[in-house]
Amino acid sequence: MIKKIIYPSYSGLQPEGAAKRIRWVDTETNRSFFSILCCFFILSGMFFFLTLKGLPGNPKSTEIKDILDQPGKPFELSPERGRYAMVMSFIETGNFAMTKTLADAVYPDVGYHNGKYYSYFTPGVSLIAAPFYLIGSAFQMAQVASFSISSIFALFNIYLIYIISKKIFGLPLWAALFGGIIFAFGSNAWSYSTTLYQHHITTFLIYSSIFLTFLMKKNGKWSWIMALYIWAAYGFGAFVDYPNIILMAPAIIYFVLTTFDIKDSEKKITLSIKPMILLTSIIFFFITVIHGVYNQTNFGSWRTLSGSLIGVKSIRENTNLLSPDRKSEINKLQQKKNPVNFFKEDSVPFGLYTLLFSTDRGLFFYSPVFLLSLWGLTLILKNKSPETIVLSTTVGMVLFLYSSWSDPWGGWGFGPRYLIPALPALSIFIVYGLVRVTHQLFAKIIAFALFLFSSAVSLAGALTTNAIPPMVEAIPLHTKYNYFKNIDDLFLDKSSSFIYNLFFSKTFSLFSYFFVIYISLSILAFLILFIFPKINKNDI
Amino acid sequence: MTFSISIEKNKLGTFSQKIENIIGEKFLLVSSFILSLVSIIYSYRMNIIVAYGDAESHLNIAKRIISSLTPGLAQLGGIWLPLPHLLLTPLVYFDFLWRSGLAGSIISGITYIITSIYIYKTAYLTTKNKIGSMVASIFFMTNLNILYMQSTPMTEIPLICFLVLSLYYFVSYIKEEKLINLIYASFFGLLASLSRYDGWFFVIMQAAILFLRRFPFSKFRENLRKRGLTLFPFFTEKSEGELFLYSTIGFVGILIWIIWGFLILGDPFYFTNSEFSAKSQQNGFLARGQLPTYHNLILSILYYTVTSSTIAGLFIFAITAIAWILFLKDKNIKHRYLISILLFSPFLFNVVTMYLGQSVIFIPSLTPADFEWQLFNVRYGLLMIPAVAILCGYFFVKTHRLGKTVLTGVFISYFFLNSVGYSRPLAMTDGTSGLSKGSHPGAEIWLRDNYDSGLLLLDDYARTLSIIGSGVPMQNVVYLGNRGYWEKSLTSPQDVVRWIVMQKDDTVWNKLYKDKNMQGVVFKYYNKVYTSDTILIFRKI
Repeated sequence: MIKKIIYPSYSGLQPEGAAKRIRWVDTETNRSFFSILCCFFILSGMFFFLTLKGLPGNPKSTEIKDILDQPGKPFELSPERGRYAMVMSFIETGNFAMTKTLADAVYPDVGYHNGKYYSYFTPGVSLIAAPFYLIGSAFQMAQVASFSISSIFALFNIYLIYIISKKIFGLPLWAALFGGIIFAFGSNAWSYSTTLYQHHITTFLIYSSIFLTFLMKKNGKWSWIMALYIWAAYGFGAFVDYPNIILMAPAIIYFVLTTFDIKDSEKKITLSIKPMILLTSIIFFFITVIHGVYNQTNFGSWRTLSGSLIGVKSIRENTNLLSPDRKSEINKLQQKKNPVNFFKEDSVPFGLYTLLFSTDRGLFFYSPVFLLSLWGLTLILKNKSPETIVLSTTVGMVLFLYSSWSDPWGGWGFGPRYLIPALPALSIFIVYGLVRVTHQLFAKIIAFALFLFSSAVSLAGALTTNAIPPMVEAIPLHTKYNYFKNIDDLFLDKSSSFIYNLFFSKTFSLFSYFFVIYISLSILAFLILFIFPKINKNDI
Repeated sequence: MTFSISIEKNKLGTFSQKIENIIGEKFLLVSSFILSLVSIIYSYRMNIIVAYGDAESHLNIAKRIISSLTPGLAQLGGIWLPLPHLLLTPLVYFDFLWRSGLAGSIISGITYIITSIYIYKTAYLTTKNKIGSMVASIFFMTNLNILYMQSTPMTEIPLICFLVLSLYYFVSYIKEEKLINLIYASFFGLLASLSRYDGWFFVIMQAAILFLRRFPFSKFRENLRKRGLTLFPFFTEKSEGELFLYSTIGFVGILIWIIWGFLILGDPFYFTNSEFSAKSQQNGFLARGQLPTYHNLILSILYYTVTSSTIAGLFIFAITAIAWILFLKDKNIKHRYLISILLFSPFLFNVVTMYLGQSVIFIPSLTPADFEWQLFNVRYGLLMIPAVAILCGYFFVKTHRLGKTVLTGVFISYFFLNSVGYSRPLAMTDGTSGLSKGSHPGAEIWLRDNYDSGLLLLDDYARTLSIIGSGVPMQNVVYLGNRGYWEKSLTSPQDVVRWIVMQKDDTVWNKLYKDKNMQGVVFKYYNKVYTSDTILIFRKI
C-alpha cells in the first residue's frame, strides 16, 4: 500500500527554508524495515546478554571481599563493588550507610562521616538498579539482574544513535544502524554495558535530552512534557555522577537556547522567549533540593558531596587510630580535601594523550574505527546546525573534563571509559562521513576493516576482564597494560560472562565462544554496510 | 505563549558607534594602568614580587652599580644583558624600592602599559578594526601570567615591550615604506637585543626579512652571470640601503655586548662560555639525564608548544591555532607570512635554544615524574602572548557570530576557571613553588634579627640566602664581583669581613671550611653563631 508522508523542511542534509519533502512510501516496505529494526535490536540485546558479567545467586556482603572481587569475577573493581554495595545497603536498611563488612569490600572508594561509612559514588545508579536487584533476588539472580541495567541503557543508546542519525541528520537506515553498532560493539562501551557503571546511563541522559530538544522545536503540543523530562534528566544526572552537571551542559544550553528566537528584520531585531522552559525548570530545582537533603542527611551539609568525604584509606594512613585526638585529626584531613582540585588545566595535554593515543587507554589504540570520526567531523561541521554544534560541543566537553582529571586512566579499566559519553556523537560523525563521501564503497571497506579490529578488541574485553592496570602501575607489577592481557585471558579460558560460565565453560573453549559471537557480529555489520543499501534504495 | 522584546536597529548602531568612539589608546592607557596597579598591589601584599630567585638577582645587580663596595658599570657582569638593570638603577637607589622589589614593578608596569597600547596598534595594522584590535589588547592585558610578571623585576615584560614596539614599526615600514619607521624598528630591536638574547634572534629575523623580501629571485642568475660572485646579485639598491640602515642601529647592541665581554671579562662570548652561563647550568641537568630536549627536535617543539599553550590558556591557544590558519589563508593581508615569522620568532628561538641545550623548561604535563623538579622556566612561554593576542583579535574580526561567541565564551570562562583553581598562572607558581623560587632559609631570618654591622662575605651566585630579605646593606656585602675584596676574603677573611655566610659546597665553603688550614683560621678569628644542615654563619670575635 502506498502512503503519503510529509517531512519537515529541515534535516541535516537540506538547507533551512527548503520546501517540505513529500515521500510516497510503500507501507509493505515500511513493515519490512520495522522487522529489520526489531531483529537488529534483538540481536544487539543478545550480544549484551551473552557477555553480561556475573554469577548465579544473590551474593552476600561477606562474599564480596576476597571471593567475588578477583579479576574476571563480577566485583573485580571498586566502582561496581561500591555501587552494588549501595544497592544492598539501600534494600536491606533503607539508607546508603554501609556496614563495616561492606565498607571493607568497597575499599578504597569508601568515605567516612560521623562514625558511618559511605561509598564515594552517587546513589543514582544504585537507585535504578534497586528494583532489578529485588526482582533478580526472587530468582537467585540479584547480581546479574542489577548489572543488566547497563545493557538496557546501552540498547537505549543504540536506539538514540539510530534515531538521531535518521531524524536529525537524515541519514539512511544502514548508516543509522551502523553508527549504533560502532558505538555499542566497536568500542569499550561494550565492556561497560555488562557491569554496573554509570557511563551508559550518563550517555542516555545526554543524548535523550538532545533528541527531545530537537523534537520540541518541531512539536509544540507535547513540548512541555519533553521540557519536564529534560530538566529532570539534568537534575537526576547529578545523582548518577557529579561530572554530569558539566557533561550535560551543552545539551542543556541547547535546550535553553531553543526558548529564544531572534528575528532580524530590516528595521528591528525581535527577541522572543518561551516561558514554558523556565516554568518546567521547577522539577530540576526539586530534584536538586532532594539531592541537598540527601547530602544533609548523610554527610552533615547540603554542600558536602560524597566524593569530598575523607577516605577511610586516608584516615588509616594519616592518623593514629588509637589517638584520643583522632576526631580532630580526621576533621583536619577533611578540610584539606576539595574534589575541584582534582581537575587542572595543565593536566590537559597529558590527559588528551592518555585518552586518545596512549597504548594503555587510547581510544584510537583500542578502537581505531574512531579515527574516521575526525574525518567525519570535518564534513559535518560544514553543516553548522545547532545539533551539529551541540554534538561537537558534547565531545569537546567530555574531552576537556576528563583530560583535566588527575586520573585520566579511570583507575584500572578497559580502554578510555571516560570517553563513553562522547562515543555516540563520534559514531554519528563516522557514518555521516560514510554517507557524504564520494567513493563510498572504498570508505565502507575501510570502515568495515577498522570495525572488525575494534569489535574484536571490544569483545575480548567484554568477555574477560576490565581490570587492566594503567602502564605506570603495570610495569612495576610486570603485567600487561592493554588488551593484550585480555587476549591472554581469552586463551586461558578466564571469562567473566555469566552465560558462558553457567552453560558453556565445560563444553567450549572461551575462544570458540568469542569466535561465534564475533562472526555473528561481523556478519551483521557486513549486512548493514553492504547489503541493506542494496535492498533499500528508497530509504526512509 | 511567548514574550517578545524588540530593539530598533538604528539605536543599536548608535550604541555600537559610541563604543567605537570610547575605545582607543586613551582607554587602553587607563585600563592597563588600573590592571597593572591592582596586580602590583596584590603581589606586594602577598609578598611575591621578589618570589623568583632571578628577580632578586636583577635587583641586586642594579643596586650594586650604585651601592656596592666596588660600584660601577662593571657590576653589570657578563651573563645577563644590561638594559633592564640600567633601567632599574635610578629606582633601586631608594632602599625601600629595592628591598620590596617595587623598583622592578615600576619598570615592568610601564613596559606592560606600553605593550598593551602597541598590541592594539599592531593588530589595527592588519585588521583595520578598532574592536578587534581592542580584543587583542584585552587578551594580552588580562592574561594572569602577564599580570603577575609585570609586577616583578623580571625581564620578560620589558623584552616583550621592545619586541612589540619593533614589530609595530617594522610592519608599518613594510606597509608604508616610510624610513622613519624602519629606524624606530631597528632602535627598538636594539633595545630588545640589550634586554634578553631572544632579542638577538629577533633582530636577525628582521634583517633576514628585509633581505629576503627584496631578493631579486627572478633576476638572480642573470645578475650572477653579469657581475660574478659579488654583492650585486643578492641585493637591489633599495634592499642594500634598507639592510645597512637597519643593521647599523639594530645590531649595535649585539656588538656592544660582545665588545663588553672582551674588554671587561676577557672573553667576547663570556655569556655562553663562562661557568655562570645558562649553558653551564644546563650541563648539570644533562649530566643527570634531565635535559630531555637536548638534541631532540620533536621534544623541543612539544615542550615549547605545551609551555606557551599553558601560559596562554589551552583553549585560547587552540583558537589561536585556528586563527593563524585563517590568517595565512587571508590573501587580503599582503605580508602575512612575514608578519607570522616575526610573531613566531620567540617560538623558533626557544625551540632552537632547547635543542642546543642552552635552555631548559620543566612543565608538569611533560616532564617525567622521576625528575627532581617538575616546574621551571615556564615563563618563557610568555613571549608567545603577543602573537596569541594579535591572532585572537584577528579571529574576532574575521569570524561571524559563532566565532565571536566562542571566543568571548572562552575568555569569560577563564575568569571562572581561574577562580576555582582549575587554571592557575603557572608563571606565578614557578616563582612561588617551582625550581625558579628564591630560597629563604632560616638563616636569612636569623641574620635579619642579628646582623648589626660590618662587611659580610657571601657567595651570591649560590643564592645561599636573600640579601634583600636579610636586611644587610648592599655596600656591606662582599661577593664575587667585588674585585680585590673577594679574593682577599678567601685568603685572610679576618682582615676584611666581620661576618661569613657559607652554604655547603659553595665557593666560600670550599675555600674556608673544606680547606682544613683555612678552617683553622676561621675558627681562630670567628665564632660560629648559626648552624643548620646546609648553612653556617660566623661572626668575628
